[in-house]
Amino acid sequence: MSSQMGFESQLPTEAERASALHKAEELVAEDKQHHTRYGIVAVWLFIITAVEVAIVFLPVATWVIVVGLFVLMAMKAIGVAGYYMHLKDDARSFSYLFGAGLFVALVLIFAFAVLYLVFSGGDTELFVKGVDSGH
Amino acid sequence: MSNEVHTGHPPTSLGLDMRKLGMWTFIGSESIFFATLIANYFIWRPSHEGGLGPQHLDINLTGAGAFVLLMSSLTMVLALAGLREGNQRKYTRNILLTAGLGTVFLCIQVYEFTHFWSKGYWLTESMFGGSFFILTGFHGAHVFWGVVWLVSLLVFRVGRGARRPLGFRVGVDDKLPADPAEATDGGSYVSVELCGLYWHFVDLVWVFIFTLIYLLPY
Repeated sequence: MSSQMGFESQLPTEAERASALHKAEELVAEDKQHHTRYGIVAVWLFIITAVEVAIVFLPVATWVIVVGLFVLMAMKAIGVAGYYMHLKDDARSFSYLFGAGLFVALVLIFAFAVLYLVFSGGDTELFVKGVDSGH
Repeated sequence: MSNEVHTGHPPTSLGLDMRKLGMWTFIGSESIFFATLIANYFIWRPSHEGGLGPQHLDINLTGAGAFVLLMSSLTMVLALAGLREGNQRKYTRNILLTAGLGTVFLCIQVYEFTHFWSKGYWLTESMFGGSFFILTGFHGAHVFWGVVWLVSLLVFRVGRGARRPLGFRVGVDDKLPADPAEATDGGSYVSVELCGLYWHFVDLVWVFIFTLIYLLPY
């Protein structure tokens, strides 16, 4: 047991120090890789945000815009959670924990949306556009 | 036991940092909290007669806010990278930038709110207005708290000499531990990481709010 050993015997040996240094160098190389990745993600997030703003002015069907916005929103969310919050590289348990909360959140919104559509007589235009049509 | 590694907080039986586990649980629950506010907003969106309505929302202004918040996420992650490298200047600069960008976002929101208020649109004018102000107001409150947290990191010198639990500052530490996993700093690195997680979550919420509240009805 460590408490029975002398202090000197607990100091790292040369081999252990070399191994630690090697691991540290690996971590630094990994960090440099991450730096590039953070920059790329930032550029993508900026481009997606610009596309999001532009897409709403396109003269296309509403459902195309809605689907496009949801896809772009999901891409941005994956970029932030996966890369900036490090869920991609961190322990899986964190992803499950966050995923569980997110799942309940999405179910909640979906349930309310269904309830709303039922009570509004299936008026999707009202739900998406928020235009009062006498309901 | 003189050589016992001081980690600040013991890991869980899963081998995970207890505080990070707590923060992720908090973030999961916060997701549900914001989901209820978003659902509430959708329910009341059509009710805007005589008050604030979707047609009053300015996506150019909030688009700028979205960009500012996204960039603050980049500076936050760079601050953490600076800490990992043992580069205190980089860490401090990026924390300040993050707090600054957060403040710019808050200024945009304050401008938006006062603009509506000056036109007579407030919480009680319409159900749409009520649900809109509550949702975006709660998000703004989260951003405000995030800025306070970021500034407090610098004020209380959290992260000074920090080392990540699974590593250490290369070129700074001459007393390298046998195993990088043993290189701890009393949890200082994790303290900054928790603030970063919170900040990114606030950004993540805005990703949803910007699309669902501002762009969808446009």
